[in-house]
This record gives sequence, structure tokens and C-alpha cells, in this order.
Amino acid sequence: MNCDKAAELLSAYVDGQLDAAERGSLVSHLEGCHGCRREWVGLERARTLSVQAAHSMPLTLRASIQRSIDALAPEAPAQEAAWRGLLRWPSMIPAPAWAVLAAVLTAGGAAYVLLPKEEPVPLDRLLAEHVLTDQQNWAATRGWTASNLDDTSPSEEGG
Amino acid sequence: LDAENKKDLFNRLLAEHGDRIYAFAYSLAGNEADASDLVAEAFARALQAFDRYDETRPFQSWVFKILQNVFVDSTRERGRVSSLDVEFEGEENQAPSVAERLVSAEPGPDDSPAREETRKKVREAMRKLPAEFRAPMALCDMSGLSYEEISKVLDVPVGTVRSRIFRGRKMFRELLDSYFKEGGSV
Repeated sequence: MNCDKAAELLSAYVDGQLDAAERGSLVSHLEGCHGCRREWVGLERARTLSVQAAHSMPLTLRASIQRSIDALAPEAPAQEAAWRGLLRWPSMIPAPAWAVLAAVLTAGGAAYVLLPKEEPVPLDRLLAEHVLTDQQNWAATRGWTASNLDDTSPSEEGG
Repeated sequence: LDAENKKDLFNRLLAEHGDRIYAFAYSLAGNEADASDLVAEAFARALQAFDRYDETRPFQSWVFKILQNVFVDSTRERGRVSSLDVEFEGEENQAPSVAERLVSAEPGPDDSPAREETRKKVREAMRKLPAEFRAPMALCDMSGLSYEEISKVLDVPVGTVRSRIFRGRKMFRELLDSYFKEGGSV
């Protein structure tokens, strides 16, 4: 690469806009060319100064644009299920409804405590009933099997 | 995109790219009043034409393009021959009404007198550049656009962008050389 070609690439190099191949050739050239390195430093400085020359947006203009953005109409919120709304806003449930709910819960609790409950069944009685049921089931099963055998016709049995 | 996303997008654009957009407008218009008009009109058009925004493109590039179109339209209305052939006004020549209307930002800690003097010289040099070099340089240096994005905004090939920035920067550097020799700080 000669110095003319290097000079063409230097500005884009300063801007980080060279592809890998161009950058590689230019860096190789810069390593051996004092004049192009000096040119490079000058362009870097010019770029830095150019950045400093930027004007900032005046505050009044910024505020005016901000007002235009703020004035954009917000989109209407999607309709949500009534129960969701109630969950989110329990305070929206009217006081009488809360009173009725509290009364129902209190009555239910009192009934549970006060109403008579069944006496517990002794263990030996439970076991005795269990054994009896087992025997009945066994007999019933056998009876069913026997009756089935009894119902079988001789021709089928012989066939 | 719904209204809230649209709002967010424009809020971010203003916060993150507002100064860059304005810097480009100033490089086109050459004075604060016209630059402000360009930016205000560009935002108004962008808000109005948002449905036509192609989401595959960077949002700020789309707004830069609109700004460029607004400028071209305004120069046509004024009967100028070239869209980029604009004479820059000196900052001291700005109309008093503009100074009254627009309030600049409060100076920060970096705004020392020496730095301010450097900035003034640099802006003078920038104003002396031909407009065809000034616009791509502003988009590159001040607005941070890539050469490809600049080519889309200005409707010229990437090679032309590269060549104009190279020539503009070389000229800019020569204009500043005398200042560097006088010992101005960077």
C-alpha cells in the first residue's frame, strides 16, 4: 500500500468503518510510515474537535417536543373479568356484602362446633363387623359360582 | 406497537438522541432558529407517520431521514438551488427573538473558558466547510451514524459518504491547523 491509498483510508479508519482486510493493510502500512502516522494523529484530533463542535438541543425545544410526546393518547385498557377486578380492588366490594359474608361464615363455624357428632365406634366391634362381612362375601361368591355351574345345561357340558 | 410503546420509543429517542438530532439539524440549517424549526417539524412528522415506520430499521435513523426530508422540503419552499447549499450565520448574528425564545443549557464543569474558546474556533471551521461535506461529517462525528446509515439518510452511495467525510475532515483539519499552531487546547 502506498501513502496516497493509505491517506484515502485513514479517515474511515478513524471512524472505525474499514473492513478487516483494509484495516489490516493500513495498519501494516502505518507501522512503517512515520508520515502517515502523523496524518492519522491529525485526523483523530480533527474528529475529536468535530465532536466537540456539536450543538446541544435547547431546553425550550426539548420541552416542547416532550409535550407533544406526552399528548399521545394512551390506549384504553383491556376489559378484565369482574372477579379479577374485585380481587384487585377488594375495597370496591360494598360494605353490606362484606357483612353478609361475615355472618354466613360465623353461622357455619358455630354450627360445626355446637351440633352433636357421631360417637366413635370401638375397635373390637369394627373388627367383628369386618370379619362377618368377609365371610358373607366369600359365601356369596361361592354361591354365585355354584349357581352358574348349576345353570349350565347338560348338552353344553357334554358338547 | 401500541400507544404506550410508541410513547416509550419517542421518549427514549428524545432522551438519548435528541442532541444528536439537533446537531445534525444545526449542521444543515446553520443557525439555532432554523435548526429548532427543523427538529420540531421532524418530530411532528415522525409522530404523525409512525405507522409507516419499518421496525427492522433503527428508529433514530428513520427520524434522521425524516429530518433530512424536512430540510429538503424547506429549502425547496425557499427556492434554493441545492438542498445542502446553506450559508451559515455567525452565532453573534442570531435574531434577538431567537435568543429570547430558546434557552441554552446551563454551563457544566467542562465549560471552562479555554474549552469554550476551542469550541468556538471549531464551530467557525465547521461553518466554513462546503455543505456537502458538513452534513456527512455531522452525521458521523456528532450524530454517531455509520457510513451505511449516513448513505441512507443522504441518499448517496457509501463510497461517496466515505469520500466526502475524508475530504471534509482533511479540509477541516487544515482550517484548524493555524489554531493548533497558536497553542489552542483540545
